[in-house]
Amino acid sequence: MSQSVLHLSGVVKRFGETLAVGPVGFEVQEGEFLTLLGPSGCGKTTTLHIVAGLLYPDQGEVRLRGREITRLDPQHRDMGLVFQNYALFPHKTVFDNVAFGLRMRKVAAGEIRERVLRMLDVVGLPGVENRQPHQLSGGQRQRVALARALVIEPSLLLLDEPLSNLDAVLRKRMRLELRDIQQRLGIATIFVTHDQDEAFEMSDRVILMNVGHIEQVATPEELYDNPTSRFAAEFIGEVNLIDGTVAGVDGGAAQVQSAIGGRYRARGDLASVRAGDEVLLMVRPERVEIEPDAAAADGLVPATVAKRVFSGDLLIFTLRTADGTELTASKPSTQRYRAIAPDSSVWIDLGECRLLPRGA
Amino acid sequence: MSAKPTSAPSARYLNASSAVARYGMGVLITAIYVFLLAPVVIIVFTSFNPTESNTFPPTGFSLRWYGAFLESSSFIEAFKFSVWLGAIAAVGATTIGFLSSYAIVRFLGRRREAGQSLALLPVMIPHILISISLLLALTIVPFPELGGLIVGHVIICLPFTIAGITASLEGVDEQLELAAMTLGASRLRTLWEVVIPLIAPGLLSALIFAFIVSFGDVYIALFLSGPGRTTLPIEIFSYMQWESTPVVAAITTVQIMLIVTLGLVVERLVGLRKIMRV
Repeated sequence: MSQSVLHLSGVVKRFGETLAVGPVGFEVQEGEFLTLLGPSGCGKTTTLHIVAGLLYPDQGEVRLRGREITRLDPQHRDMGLVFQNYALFPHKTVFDNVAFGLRMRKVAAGEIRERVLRMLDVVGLPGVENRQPHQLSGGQRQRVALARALVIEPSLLLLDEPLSNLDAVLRKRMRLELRDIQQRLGIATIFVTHDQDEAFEMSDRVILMNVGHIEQVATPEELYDNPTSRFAAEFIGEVNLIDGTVAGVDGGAAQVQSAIGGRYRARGDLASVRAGDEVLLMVRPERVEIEPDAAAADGLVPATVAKRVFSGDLLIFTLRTADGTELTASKPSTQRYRAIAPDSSVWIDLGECRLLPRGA
Repeated sequence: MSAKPTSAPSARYLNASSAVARYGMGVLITAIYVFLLAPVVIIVFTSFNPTESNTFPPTGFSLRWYGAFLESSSFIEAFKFSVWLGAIAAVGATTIGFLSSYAIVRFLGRRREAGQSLALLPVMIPHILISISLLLALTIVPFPELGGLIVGHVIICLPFTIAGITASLEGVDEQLELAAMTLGASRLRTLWEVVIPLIAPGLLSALIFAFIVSFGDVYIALFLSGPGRTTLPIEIFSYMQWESTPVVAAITTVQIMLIVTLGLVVERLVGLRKIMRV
């Protein structure tokens, strides 16, 4: 494992009586794009501000390349922060905005000029250095803010929902571009967002946060396939959750009798799972198999098609089983699935499921 | 408001009544302005009158009394002293006002309203009380006489500078300061590089406004200026106890011009209304 750039451990932050964050701990590796993902109020921005030194934690420790910086002033931290509203200095030109950090570091004027112009090139904005921020579009301002944060060659780049003020089309393009710039420069990055698509498309690893604590740390794929809690399962993408009872545990998987009738293999955290436990089965809509042909339906669970929504490349089925449970299945809109009409009787299979604790 | 057919006649009715209201209001407002400005107009006219007594309407046109003002060393000295004192009080009140306003806006959090009210308190206290308390304080703490006068003027100017500067500071996004700090600027450097340039018009108008307040003060100077050096209002005051020539009108006209000019500058910078909203 490579050396970690940033190490947070046991960080707790309270605002008055309210626990905003904590305890939270994680590491950022060299060159890694790490995302703090969570609903608003989950403490992700507070965590980012603790990293940047704009807030000091009540407990815990922050280390940058091994050096303790928990209570170091932000100006000595060597981090580049891009704000949600960009926070460009309105009275300074683009050049002076980008040059600000270098001037504070007393870099020679000639070198400042060279580095600023080079960085404006990197973010795809050559030739705007003499403009004022108010003469730029939202997307351009965003790039200037990025250039301003990157030109000081910080150890760590911090991005606080930088895409949320852009329109949908630009947001999609900037995601790829931001990721591309980050990889070219190889800079360790913490990205804060509430948007799961952004998190998935850009990140090496995602930290899912909820009410101040870390729910799960995983790669986007892992987080999607193997959420460890109900919150994680429901926050990320569409999901079917079905009540079930553990019938037995054998070799890395549990046999679960489901409320809809079938018995399914389920993987998950099985350490404390015993036969007879009440659990949840999780299955993503695209994993739900629909079988219209009764002949092939041996051992599958019968259901009726309650609703069918056509969305171009996909067909979204709402399936109702005998006990009244409704499941969602999303299938490619091929002939095979288009043939399945609303109100028709079908058979469904969940394949291998994910096992989640019933409670939270 | 409602559907068109019903609103049409009522609109006509409102128009008719508002015509009456418009004339009534016009007359009333004119009357108020005449009442407020008549003394000023009379003084300005009197100052150009060639005769010894303060007569109105004027009997001719002459710059005699302006000449008398320029030739009177005591008036000129007092005028210079008032300008000097006003400048010092303005710089002092603006500096202290800026620091207090910054603390009120950025650091007080939920107690901000209370801080703001406290800072504006001197405006509620009659200036003569401030003056007397300062005079008493000076008998306890030995302080050069000029010092007392400057402190007194800074105190009466402060509420105005704080009110204006807090209003300007509220328009500065705190994230700009945080951004500057993450880029390596200290708090002081951030003030200099980001905050002060952004509120420069507010600071300049605070300076001017404080100068006007100091320049027009009577009560503080009445108790705290020594026998040797007095401000222009006090000089006028003592002159008028013995004599009454239109030279006073000439001086007053000069003062009015000065204040109106400065007021116009402030109006151009940020709008007087913003600062007057104490």
